[in-house]
Amino acid sequence: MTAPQKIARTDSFCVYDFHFRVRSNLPEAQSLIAGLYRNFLAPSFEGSVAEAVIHSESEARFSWRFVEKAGVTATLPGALWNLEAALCETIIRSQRHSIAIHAATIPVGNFMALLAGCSDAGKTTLSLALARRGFRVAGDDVALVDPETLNVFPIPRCFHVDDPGAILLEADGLRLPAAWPRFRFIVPNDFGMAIEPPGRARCLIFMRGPRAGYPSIEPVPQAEMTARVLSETGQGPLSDSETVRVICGLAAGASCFALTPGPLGATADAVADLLRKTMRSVD
Amino acid sequence: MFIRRPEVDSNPLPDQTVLLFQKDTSLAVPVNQSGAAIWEMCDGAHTIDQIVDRVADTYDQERSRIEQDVRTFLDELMQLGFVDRC
Repeated sequence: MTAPQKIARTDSFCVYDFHFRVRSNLPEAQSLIAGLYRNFLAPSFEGSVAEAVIHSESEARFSWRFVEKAGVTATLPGALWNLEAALCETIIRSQRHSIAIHAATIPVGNFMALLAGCSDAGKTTLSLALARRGFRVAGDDVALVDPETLNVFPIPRCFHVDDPGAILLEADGLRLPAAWPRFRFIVPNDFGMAIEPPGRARCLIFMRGPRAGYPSIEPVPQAEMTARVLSETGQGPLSDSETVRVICGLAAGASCFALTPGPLGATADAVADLLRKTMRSVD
Repeated sequence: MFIRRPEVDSNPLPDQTVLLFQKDTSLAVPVNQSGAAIWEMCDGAHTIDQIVDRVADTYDQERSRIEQDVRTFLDELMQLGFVDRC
């Protein structure tokens, strides 16, 4: 058994008014988490901050804890994923104002496109295929919406890519970071994402299944899109009626589409075309 | 005649569709343009015949078919707790 090393302090971060820092005795874990939140560094903050710890206790035992959550895994990727999920959940729960939508966020020109859908709809794979086509993907899982401005704030998360997904993406031409096989922890910053100014969503796409032989994208009424996005909206600080009004406002300002995905390359090409057309119409 | 229940929020969208939200059950139901027109006439003052007449003015379909669709839609609204018969 490897002797535990001293836990080192890493940088502090502030993600949408939630302050935390990460400590680890693993320089690699420290570097991966820092890469995820690189655009949210808050080194000078001196107030009370939550502390996330990821710790190697042996070669096959990794512990992590954050606020009231903790666990032990046999692999470092498992500990990283669990810690990152706890961080994301806490950031969402800390919001006193904004509501969280289960959607990928793709900045396009001066606006945001939201790609919503249930957990296994393929948002992550499609987001990364769009990154290969030159789009920036600010987040693949959760977006916060300000109820007053309706601006969208993506929460950065690691992309959960499994082996079949990686094979599909590499076949589509995406080069995964060198560290992916070992850590299974790739993040928006691995693809050169810069911090994005908040923007209004002008394009809402809802992914629906099952996958077909070829992709199709159809306009959907705004009320239908509202209902679909509501099904992917978390319990937030607002009342149910207020949340409905916010999502209605989001859909009211956007072009709304339903996407039936087909093969990855053709689907990403179709969505990329749609986003470029929407960008031209908004401009 | 039908009347909208007070615990239902009506959220009109720019494309003339409406998202109805039943606050007691947290049920959200999207309604298309013709449904939105019917919803507006659920005010306790319009009879089913008047609603059908209004919809028939807009849609080029047989009146019997429209009446059947209107009745089906109103029945669904009532079952979901969005309107009451009065």
